[in-house]
Parts: sequence; C-alpha cells; structure tokens
Amino acid sequence: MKYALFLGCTIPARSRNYEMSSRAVAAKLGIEFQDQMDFCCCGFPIKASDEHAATLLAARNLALAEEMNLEICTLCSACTAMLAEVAHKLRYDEGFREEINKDLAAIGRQVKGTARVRHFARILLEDIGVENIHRSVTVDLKGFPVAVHYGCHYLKPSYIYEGGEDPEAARSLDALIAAAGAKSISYIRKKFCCGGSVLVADEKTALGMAKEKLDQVQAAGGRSMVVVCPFCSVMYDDNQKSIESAFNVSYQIPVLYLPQVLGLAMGMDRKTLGLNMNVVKTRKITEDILGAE
Amino acid sequence: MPADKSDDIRIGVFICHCGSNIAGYLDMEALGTYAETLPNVAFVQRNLYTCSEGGINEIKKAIGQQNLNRVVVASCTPRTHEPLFRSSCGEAGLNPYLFEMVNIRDQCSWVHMQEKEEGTNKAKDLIRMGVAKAALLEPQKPIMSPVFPRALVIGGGISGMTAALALANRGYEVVIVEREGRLGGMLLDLNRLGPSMTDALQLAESTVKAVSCHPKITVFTGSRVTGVEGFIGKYSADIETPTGGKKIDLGVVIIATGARVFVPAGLYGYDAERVITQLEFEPRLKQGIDPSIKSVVMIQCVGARNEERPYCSRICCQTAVKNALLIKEKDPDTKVTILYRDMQMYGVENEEMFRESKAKGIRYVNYNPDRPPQVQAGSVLVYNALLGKDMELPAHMVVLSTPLLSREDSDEVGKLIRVPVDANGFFLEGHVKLKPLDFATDGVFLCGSARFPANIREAIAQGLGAASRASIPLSKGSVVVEPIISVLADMDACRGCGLCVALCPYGALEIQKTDKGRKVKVIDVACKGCGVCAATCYQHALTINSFTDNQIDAQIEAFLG
Amino acid sequence: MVDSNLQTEDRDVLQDLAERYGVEGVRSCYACGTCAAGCPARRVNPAYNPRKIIRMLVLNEAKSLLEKDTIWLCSSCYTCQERCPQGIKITDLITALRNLAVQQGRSPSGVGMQANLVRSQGRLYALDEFDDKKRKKAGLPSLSPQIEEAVRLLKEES
Repeated sequence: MKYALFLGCTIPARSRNYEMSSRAVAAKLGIEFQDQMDFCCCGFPIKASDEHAATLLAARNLALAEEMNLEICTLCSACTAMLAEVAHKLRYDEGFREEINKDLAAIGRQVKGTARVRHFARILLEDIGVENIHRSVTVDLKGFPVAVHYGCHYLKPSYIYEGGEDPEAARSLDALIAAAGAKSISYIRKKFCCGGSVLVADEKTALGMAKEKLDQVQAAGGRSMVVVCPFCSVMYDDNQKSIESAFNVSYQIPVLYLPQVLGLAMGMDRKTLGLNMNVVKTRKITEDILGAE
Repeated sequence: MPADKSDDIRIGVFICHCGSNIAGYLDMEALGTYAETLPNVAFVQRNLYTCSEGGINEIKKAIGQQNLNRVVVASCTPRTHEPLFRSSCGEAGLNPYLFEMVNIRDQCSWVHMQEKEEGTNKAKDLIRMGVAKAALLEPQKPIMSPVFPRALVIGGGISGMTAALALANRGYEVVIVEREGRLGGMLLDLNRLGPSMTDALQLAESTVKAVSCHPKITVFTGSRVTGVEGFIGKYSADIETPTGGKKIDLGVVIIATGARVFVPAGLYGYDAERVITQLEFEPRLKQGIDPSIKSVVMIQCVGARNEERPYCSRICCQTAVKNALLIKEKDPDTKVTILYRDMQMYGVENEEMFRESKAKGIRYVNYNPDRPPQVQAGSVLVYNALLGKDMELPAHMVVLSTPLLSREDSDEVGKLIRVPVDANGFFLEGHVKLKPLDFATDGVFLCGSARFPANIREAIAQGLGAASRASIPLSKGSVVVEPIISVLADMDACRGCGLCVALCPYGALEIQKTDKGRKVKVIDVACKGCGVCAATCYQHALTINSFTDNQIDAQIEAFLG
Repeated sequence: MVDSNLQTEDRDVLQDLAERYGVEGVRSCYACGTCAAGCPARRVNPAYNPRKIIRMLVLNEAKSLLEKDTIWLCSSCYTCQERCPQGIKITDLITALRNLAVQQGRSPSGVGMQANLVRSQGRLYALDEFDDKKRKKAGLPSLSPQIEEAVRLLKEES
C-alpha cells in the first residue's frame, strides 16, 4: 500500500506532531508514504482571492501525483477538499481539463484527470479497516472519553468525495476511535465548524465559533478532542488560551490528532507521536491512560 | 326459516371484545352473564372480533340454529360496522332491519379505561336498552324509485360543457342552461393557459362546437333556471329562456355555475388602464402589449386572504407566473417583478414554470400585508423585510392578481336546489374528501369554480368527475333508498301545518290536499331519515322507521328501570 | 433606493457567477432560510446572513454587497451548500463573490498577504533552515524551502 504523501504548507512548518504521528502509525500498519519534495501549496489559501490560481496550483500537484502513478494521501482537510474538488472537475469536465492543461503547458506539465485524493483517516478506514487497526492495539485505552471533531472539508462538499459518507451522519472517525479502544462521546454541535477560515477576516467571530464547540465538549464530559486537520487544531489547541481569556472561560481540554490517539493505543511513546508539541498539555491524559512514564 | 315477526321474540346478543379495546377495560364475562338475564334474550355469545369472518359466521349460524328473530351486536360504532352486520343478518335470512347495534366501545370502554366497574355497569345499561329496543323492531323493505334519464347542467363554462359532453357521450340526454348569450364562460376572456400555454380560445371554440353539434345536448343560452322541484331521479326544472318559460323533467342536476373575478376598485390605484387585473391583462397580452411598456409589477393577493375574503384563491399565482413568462416571451428585456405573500404553485408543472420564470429573470419580492406595496406614478414602492428597506420598482404597468369570487346568485341557486354554500358563497360539497363532487342531497353534483377557484385543468377534471358521479343513478335507471325514513304514522293527527316541510333540509316533505284536508306527504326517495320532522311535529304524526316513539320509549324505560 | 436598470446589472453579476465560477441557479432561491438556520458563522455573528446575501444578488444589490465586509465572515464549512433545497452552491458562490471583491480591491488585509506569500514562494510558509533543523530533529525529511515551478505557473497565469 503506497501513497504520495501530501503535507501541504501548515503541517511541515507548524504541525509536525501530526506529521510524526501519521508517519509512525502508517509505518506500523504497513502503509508506505512516498515523499514528493516538489508538491506546492494545495491552492486553498488563495482560493478566496483567485480561484483560478488556486485551481492551477491544485492541478499542478495532481499532475505530479499522476506522474508518480500514486494516489495522494492528505493529512490536512483543506488540502483534501481543494485537491479533490479539482481532481473531480478534471476527471469529469473535459473542457475544464483542456483549459487547465493550456496553463500547465507553461511549466511543461499536464493532467490526465486520473489522480485520486484521499484523507489519511479515510485510507485507514477503507484500505486498512477497523479490524486490522483494532488488531494492532496493544494498550487498553479503557474507553477514554474523546470528543471527535470531523470539521468541514474532511466531508464536504460531499459531491467531490465519491463514495464518501453523509456529512450529516458521519461515522468514520467514531469508528476509528472505537477501534483504538477509546470512547467517542456524543455532544451537541458535533458537526460545527471550527471557524478557522474566518480567522483572517474577523478573529472574534472565529474564536466565538471555536468556543461554541469547546463549551459543548466540556459540558458533555469530553476529556480530550480529536481532530484531523491542522486548521481545526489551530482553533481548538493553539487558540484555546486566547478563547479562555477573551470569553473568560476555562477548558484545558487537550486536542490530539487522530494518529496520536491511534499511536497511543498501538503502544507508541509520547516522543514518537510528538505529544509534547500539542499546546494544551497532554501529559495528564497520557498518564491516565498509560500510567506515569 | 326463522320468523321475521312472531310473538315469540328471540334475541341473540353478540358481545365483541374488539381485541383488547373493549375486553381490556370491561368485565366481559359479567356482561355475557348479564345479557342472558335480559327479557327475550335467547342466545348470548362473546367474540374476540364479531366483525371478523369467524364472528360473522357465528351470527349467521346462531340465527339458524337458535331460531333468532332479532340480533343485537354490542361492539363499536354503527357508523362503520352497521352495514356489515345488517347485510350478514340478511344473508342468514333475517330481515336486515331486525338488527340493533350497541356501542360499548367508543363512548364506554375507551372513555372509562380507569373505571372498570362503572364502565361495565354502563355497558350493561347500554345492552339492556338495545335489547329493549330490538324487541320492538319492525322489518323494513328498501325503497326503489325510477330515474329519468336526463341531466341538467347549470352553467356552460368549460367545466359544465365537459360534464355535459361526458354524459352525452355515454348516451344520456343533457340540457345546459347558460345565462350568458353564448357558451364558453370565463375561458372566452383568457389568452393562453398555463402551464402548457394552450390557446384558450381554441379550446373554448372546439368544446363549444362539440357541445353544440351533439345530438344529445340541448343548450339554452341567455337563460336561467328559476325553479327545481323533486328529488333524485325525478326532478323537474323551470327554465326561463329568451323565447319563454320551459319545464323539463330530469333525473340529476350538475351545478357548474363558475365564479367571477374580484374587481379591486379603490385598491392599489386600480384604474383599469395602467393598473389592471390579471383578467384585464389577458386580452392585452393577446393583442401584444404596448412596446413602450418596459417594466411590469404584479401584486398578488389583492383583496384576498384578508378579513373580508379570508381564503386563498389558489389560481392567481400560477396565472401571474404564466403571464409574466408571456411578457418575457414577447420581450426578454421587459422587467417583471412579482410582489407576493406566499407563492402557491402546486403541482409539478407549475413548480417547473415557477423555476423557469426565475431563470428568465422574473423577480419575486415578498411583501408583508401589514405594510403593503404602494403604487405610485411610474413605480411601486415595496418594503423588503430581509433587506430591511423600501425598494422602488419602476412600473409602466401594474397588474393586480385578484381572487375569484363566488357568483352573486350562488346563494339563490343553492336555495333553489336545496344545496348549501360556504361562508364565501362557494357551493359546499357533501364531504371534503369522500364526496368532493356530490352534495349531501342525492342526485345533485358540482364541478369547477362554483365549488372553489379552479384552473382550467381542474375544472375539466371535475367536470368529468361530476359526470361520472351523475351517471351512476342514470345508468342504474333506478335508485334504492334506505327505508329508515320518515313516515306519516298517524294521518289523523297531522294538521297540515307545514312546519316540518319548512324545516326539512332535503325537500322530502310536501303538503297535499286530501279528502281529510291538508296532510303532509313524505317523498320516500328524498328522505334521509334525519328525524328533524318527527322531532318537530307537535302532533306526533310523523315518525322515523327504526326510531319510533315506542322504540325510543322502551329504551328510556329500560334505562330507568 | 431606486431600482434602475436592474436587469443589466443583475445579468452581469449573475452571469459572471454562472459562467466564470459555475455557480448557477441563484435566482431559484425561494428564501427558505435553511442556509441561515444552519450557518455556524451566523450563530456567532448575526451580521453574516447567507439568505440575505442571495436575496441581495437576486434583487440587484450585488454592488453594495461586494462593498460590505460580511462576505468575509463565511467559514466555507459548506453546511448551507449541502442543505440548500434548491441545490445552489452557496459556499462556492461566496468564494466567487470574494474573488469579485478582490478584483475590485476590497478584501481583508490578511487575504492579500496570504495570496502574496503563496504567489512568491509556492507555499504559505517558506521552510527556512530553522524549520528544517526542527524537522531533522523530529526525524522528518527535508522539504524544498520554496517551489519555484509553482511561482512560475502563477506568474504565467496572471
């Protein structure tokens, strides 16, 4: 099982813990990642100002993946949606493909429209399967209560994810968390957006949106959150302190990336999973689960 | 063979458990034991479901084996089950009217779920009363009456013409009475019909031609029905025609008198010139609108859905959208805005037409009736709640969508034929779901906008439906009527005062001169057995079969005793 | 406001949206409010109202819409787009409107900054030596600090 690993911009620079834990879990489960040094930005950060430019960047990445003859595995949900949307258009809209190829010709590349893009979590679920993941669990997480956050672009827009799940009734992350032996709690606003995209325009609205969910996770007794996107992590983990002081609340809810939880269940240590890099301290929960190291 | 009537009254009582509906709340064993003690009761049986095939067979078996001549079923409501039990008695050779039903479920077990003892006692009372009445029941015979094979259709619009053609094509004679000088009704004033955009005049002309040429149809235009007498199968109508009065015999009547458009005098600057109704807009669209008109604003619900006329006229929205599309068809650059409260675009094709209109740039702006649009010179001002401000829309022409109103004389026509109209003057069908094209009065049917605003398609469908309903008595040639009707039981007591005649809702009574003086006569086939006459008659001259004074007295005595 | 010459302006913006951005059927909106009801941004900040944005487009207020900052409050979560009973791609519509606003020189400063970084580096964050050192320490492979080919691609395009 081999995939072209697409890291995007944020993960290699700001979310190394996500990258480290993903690589470790992938290796453990027999997933091979092929790195591609020439991948550029997926395009999402400039979609709002110039959709065509964003589309070209996405198409260029897809062209590289086609050359590698590998499916792209993404870690960031924004990258996933951006690349999958363009891949979808390239596959089904011949006129669009021709237009894009005219532009790509300037850098000597072209796309055929065959590229496929899937998020790491979806690959875990679909290609490895919950049974195999459960089989590699060595540490009993004892039903540790976890609030799963799907975020938006992991599921939506749903038409670009062929064979994907219903965004109104998503189960994939709950299934993966259950396979790891933790307990996915149910809570209000489970489908709520983190607000990350609003940060650039209106910080107060963005933080308010993140607060909506943290309030509910806390009320439902969630002792940690699990995310699959670095933007969501920025909102809930990096900005949790800002939210606490801006709205005069207190959470101290650790926010983990999905592979960090899976890695814990597979017996990996904190260092391997980059758990020291999470902003809200994770020591307490790993002690609760693993005992003091 | 069991005896229908004998001095030896032998009553069979069947007590139904109705699953647990009755048995769950009443002491069934006690009811059974109690019923056995009642006078004239020869046989008692309890059934899980008396109405099931097994239960019915038990009744039939008992009638023969136990030589029963009266049957009482204590179970649910006669509204749903009396016909079944009656016909079962008939199949076993017992006159169906020697059957009595006691409801120990709806008003007993269901309402006394918490009071088993009291509920059981009440059921005993009810059964006792039913048994007392059953002993006095008399056999009855169904009443037959011939049907004159001709229909009268009042109204020669599209709905009435369609009904007339359908009946005539089935071979029945039809008389159409149209008060205007020509057939066609409102269809003659229309341009094109949505959503198919059919030419209205073509449809009108082809239908009129078919009606006029039909050998079975007689048409009286410029005419009015001035009197209708009789009952199903045997009506006679007085018709005032330009050439004089006529009297015709008929079996059934179809009311297809249509409706009229509300003229919004004093509303939104209506002037029939620049501010007009949709009906006035139709011929203008047909002739071609003045090319200098580059902007049209339509206002929906004008004079409708208010205190005076609280109803939605249903067809104005589709009319407006259709006409808006026709404007765009002529000139895509003409701006059309429709100001609405709620869009009523039921049906797949209408919904599609609505969608198409949006795609073609016709704009829809919602308005609040508490803050209605203002028609100004050259523009219309409308407050948009979502934008939170007034919008000024240029308007070279304003078209007002006004509701259809009932005919001014619908009440009068209703009285003539003894059928009701509703609060808005539209004719009221027998039952909103079960008898949508019938009246409560047998032999009278209705269709089209006389009933409620209908578009052409609905008017045609209803015309076909009413014709189908009307053809049932026509094709049978006779009608069979339930014999539970009023009878003049004591002719000597009747003084011919006519109070009952005035109160009878079905026109089933009349005063006749006899050699004993003025006496009431019951028209069997017209009577519905409602009992108003018997209750009214202070001489106790009238009574209702199966609800005679002595039967009811016996029930009361049984209850008190 | 006087609704003058609305047809032409309407057509321009709505046609732009349809032809350049593939956002069709905006006029089919019947203002049910499903978009606004499910909108997480609106829940927190009532100034943002997708139903009103669509209404403004349909009622020829595109110009004043682009002048307002509210279109930048959308979090691109696609909730409205998934749920719209008329199948309007509302999130894509907001993205398209943002593009139009940027073309008119109206956008929050951060938006332009992000775009400039991507255009000049091919990625949002240039991976400098410091980053590379950290990555090495974490056992992660080195990546190119910036992607020249992507920079070239966007230069050609613009």
